[in-house]
Amino acid sequence: MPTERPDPADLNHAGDLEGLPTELRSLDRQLTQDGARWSARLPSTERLAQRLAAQLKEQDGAANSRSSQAPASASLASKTSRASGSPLPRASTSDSPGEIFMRQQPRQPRLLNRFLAGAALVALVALFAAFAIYVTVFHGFGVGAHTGNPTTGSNQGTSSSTPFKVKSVDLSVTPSSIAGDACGSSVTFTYTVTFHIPSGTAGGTIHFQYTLNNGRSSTPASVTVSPGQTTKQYTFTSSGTLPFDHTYPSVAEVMVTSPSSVTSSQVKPTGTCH
Amino acid sequence: MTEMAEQADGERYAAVIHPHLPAVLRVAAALVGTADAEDAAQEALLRGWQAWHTLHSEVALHSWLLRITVNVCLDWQRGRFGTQRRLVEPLDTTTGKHPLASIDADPGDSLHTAVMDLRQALDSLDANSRLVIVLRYYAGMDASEIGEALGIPSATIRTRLRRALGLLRMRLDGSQDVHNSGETGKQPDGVEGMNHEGEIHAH
Repeated sequence: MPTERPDPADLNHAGDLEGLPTELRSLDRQLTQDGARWSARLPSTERLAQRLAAQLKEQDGAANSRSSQAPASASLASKTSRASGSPLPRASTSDSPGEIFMRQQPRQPRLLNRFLAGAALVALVALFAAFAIYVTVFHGFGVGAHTGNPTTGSNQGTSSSTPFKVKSVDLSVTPSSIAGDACGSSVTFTYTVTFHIPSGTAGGTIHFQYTLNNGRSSTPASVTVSPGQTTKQYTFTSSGTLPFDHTYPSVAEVMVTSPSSVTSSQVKPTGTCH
Repeated sequence: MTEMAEQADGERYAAVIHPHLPAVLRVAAALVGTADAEDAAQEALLRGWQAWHTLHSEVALHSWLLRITVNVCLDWQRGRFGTQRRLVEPLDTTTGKHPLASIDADPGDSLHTAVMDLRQALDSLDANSRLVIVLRYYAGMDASEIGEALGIPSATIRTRLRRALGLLRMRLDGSQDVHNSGETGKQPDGVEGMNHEGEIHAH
């Protein structure tokens, strides 16, 4: 575990501005004090840590889902490395003391790994062909029957015959109304984005942007969708003080840029503060 | 086994970066404002996770995270939806959306006035000068970290800091003169804030 670093607010950054003229030294002090005062009012990192943990868990799940299907040599190499009892994946065997290696780098596949990957691919194709023949012979061409089942929040099979795209995107906000809230009070809005994906896709990454101020600025983000997944959720929050001029909260909207271009409806908490 | 290892990777990343979260959040808040800071910090940390395999030494972790955060925040400011506005508009102290806009002293207090003058003067600086001052005093980064984040030698950063402080001093003195002459609210020298944004992009 790393040692705790001192908060930069406590650092004087000695040496950065040695020999500063007297008239600038007072300004340096003034800025240092203002910076410390300003940073003391920042929110705690607890919520950020929670959000990050949730995102990492989600991405890990998606990565696991992908790695369990893809016979990529890098994935096999990674599995081999980890199965060998190494406590952490290492990027190199020549690591020096004091240096840690964080995560498995994609390596040049060895011949054996290439062979295993090829064999796995052949087996997968054979399995898929057998399944297709079985369905065709015994069930006619009704394979796509499940496409008529728009159930959300579940996997609809992992056939990759359907191109990966976003059909639609929903956006909701909680709380949905600020009517009755006092102006000047602090609020946190939680926006939930729900992406709808056709069933039977191979999964992929959705790139999108969201705006919280009616398009004046936007935030890029992305989520990973597992094979067969038909809905995917993403949550972001906005905190602030309800101003007397009612300029916050503003209109929020999500714009999917890839793999397809889709825009959500515009969302804004109803009512005004008083 | 593999899933557990993957899970452990994510958990380990979260644990390793945990001590650095305050610094990341502070940098984000200084650059994109407190309202957007968590979102920007989250995006930076996720990008860090995606690029984690490129980091080989934990010694460099802090600077590495701050560099990613600064880049994400600068991208954020240059966003698609006309966010040049964020760079050219003066500090908006009423909405609290602009970086460094939150004032914690009581209105009318002399401290409040001094802080307002200071931040207004800071806003009137060119983009490069404002950026180095914000990163050093508000984001809490030293010259080396700023240099690494911006891809500029730390000696250059120190020079820019000195020059920026000198400019800020002049702005404050000018502001004082304006206040004394009763023309409150007028920007000294007619300088538009952050109108040299291309200078940052050039690096």
